[in-house]
Amino acid sequence: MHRDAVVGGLLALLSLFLLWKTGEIPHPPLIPIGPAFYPRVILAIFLVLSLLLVVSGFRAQAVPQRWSWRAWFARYRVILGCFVVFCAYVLALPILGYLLATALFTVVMQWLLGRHGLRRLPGVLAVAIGTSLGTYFIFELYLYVLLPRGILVR
Amino acid sequence: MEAFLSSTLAVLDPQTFLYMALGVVAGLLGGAIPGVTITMTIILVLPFTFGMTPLQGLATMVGVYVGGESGGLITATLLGIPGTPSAIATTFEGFPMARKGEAGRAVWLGIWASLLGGLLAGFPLVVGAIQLAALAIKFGPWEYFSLFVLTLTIVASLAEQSLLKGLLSGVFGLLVTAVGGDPLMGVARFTFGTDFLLAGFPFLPVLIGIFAFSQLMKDVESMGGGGKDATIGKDVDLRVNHLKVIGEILRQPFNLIWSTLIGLWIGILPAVGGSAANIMAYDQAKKFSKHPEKFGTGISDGVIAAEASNNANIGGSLITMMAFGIPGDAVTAVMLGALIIHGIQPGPLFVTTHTQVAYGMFAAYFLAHFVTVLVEWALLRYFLRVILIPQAVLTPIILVLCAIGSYALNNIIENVWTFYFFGIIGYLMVKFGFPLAPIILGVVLGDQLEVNYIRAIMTDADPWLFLTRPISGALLVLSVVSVIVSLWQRRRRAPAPAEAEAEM
Repeated sequence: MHRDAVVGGLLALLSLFLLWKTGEIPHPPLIPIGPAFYPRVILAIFLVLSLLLVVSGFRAQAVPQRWSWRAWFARYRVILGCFVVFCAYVLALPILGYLLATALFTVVMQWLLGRHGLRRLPGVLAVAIGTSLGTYFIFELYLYVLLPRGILVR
Repeated sequence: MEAFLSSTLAVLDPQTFLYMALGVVAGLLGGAIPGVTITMTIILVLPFTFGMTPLQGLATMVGVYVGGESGGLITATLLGIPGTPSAIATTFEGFPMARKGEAGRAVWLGIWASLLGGLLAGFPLVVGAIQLAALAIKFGPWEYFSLFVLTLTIVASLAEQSLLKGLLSGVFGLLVTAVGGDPLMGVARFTFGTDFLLAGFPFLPVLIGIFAFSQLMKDVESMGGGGKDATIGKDVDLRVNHLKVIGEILRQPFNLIWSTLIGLWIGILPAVGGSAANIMAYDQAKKFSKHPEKFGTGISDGVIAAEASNNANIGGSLITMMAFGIPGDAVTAVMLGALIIHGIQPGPLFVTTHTQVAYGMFAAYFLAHFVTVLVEWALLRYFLRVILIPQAVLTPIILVLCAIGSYALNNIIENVWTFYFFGIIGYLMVKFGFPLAPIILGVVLGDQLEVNYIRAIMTDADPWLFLTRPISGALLVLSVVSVIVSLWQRRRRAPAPAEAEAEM
């Protein structure tokens, strides 16, 4: 069995769940086809395709390989880190404000991607402050985009 | 013709021209920096265009597009790394040529071939976009619906991975657009009680997430690989006799024209980008060559084919985008989003109702090609110093710019969450072997697909009209054919291939 079978199964479950959700969409009177019709057609096609993926996944040969949490984590640790740090950044934006949140984000990301050590610190900080201030001036002062203010910093 | 002249003058207006030239510089830089694609560059430039007039914004983006295709070749020839996927084939000949001590000749062969290929494709662009738009205006909702279906199946069947996954990706894109108020009455669908989703997922953050985030994470994954020691030194001599180089290109008229045509055709095909065009043109040049054994050692034919075709590809992509409102590749998908932000509905009416913008894009296309050569002539040696920014610096900066771009769309943080959410989806799709082009197309075309479907049914309740109206029926038949052909080709190519995907 190939892992496609699992992916297909999950997608099929998703489409079943959303199909069930279409039951909640009201049908306004006097309209030949209601707003639920189109999503149902799309979801039906999606469901069929997902099930086909399950079938083809069962027929395909899986690449035999040892799978361990440890190896997986070693390989994807930085990627996971990026997603977590970005999530924290978006959460921090409305609290710390654009300037501070961006500077922190840029420092942490550079560290995460391997620019650590005291010797590199000036460079890392310069990039962080440059990015934060540079974009702030361009967008806020020149392009009139109101960047997030931050509740803590006023 | 008159409209063309007046639009050219509008683009020559100092401010507009400056924006376009800046777009070219941004494109050149983005194209040249490995790991930053043209799609990503245009995404990063996008928020800067929100405040411009539509003509300025679109001219800037055309500048980025044209500049980007040329930027890729600088890195490809001098460092041996393609700056963008559309310069992959350029490395095959350009880098060996540069290593033999002919760096100047290699780079300028590429630059001049880009210019010539781009200009040759310019005339089909203008004529093709106008003629096809005139044809498309006669389309009813049935024809539109069928055209969109055909587009989706073509893209799904062109996907390198499995056809099934291509189709799933496309349908998933359609599903994304089904979220939010329905087009007729605005009845909420799948909003899960949120106000934000009532208007549906905002198109651009979705697009940016799927493309930029997944691309960046892929680059992060492959970080630390590939040493850069095989590069040409920073103080390389790039001086060259330009007339001789141009003469060298013009002595291969068949190669130049054939590569241009390939680029155009691949561009017209929806959602297939320059990366396919340049490899295919290179391959063809090799097949038609009298000395195919010399390919790979650094001969001019390969550089000319690859670079002429990827610039011609821009022309082709713009035709599809301007005539039908269907993206020719990821870059034009972003441009379509930009049009919508500027309040312009893409589609066949675009060329006639927004003549100035449309013709301005043609004018910008031609002008940007010349600006590109000028900028390269002036700044080429400085580019080499900027190109090698470490990935660890590049990634956070790009992510910040993506976040601003999503946020600035209408100044709400939910847009950034949308970007993030679809970034995760895009990355997972890449990991599990789903192609990204179909989902983008699905997201771009989804709303129009539904609108046209409803319009057709409201005009006439008979669903068979989709098949019995000749053009619509033919398009649907073609769509089935494209799926069958794809299935047949795959069966022939390999009996049950054990998919060698990236393991997760």
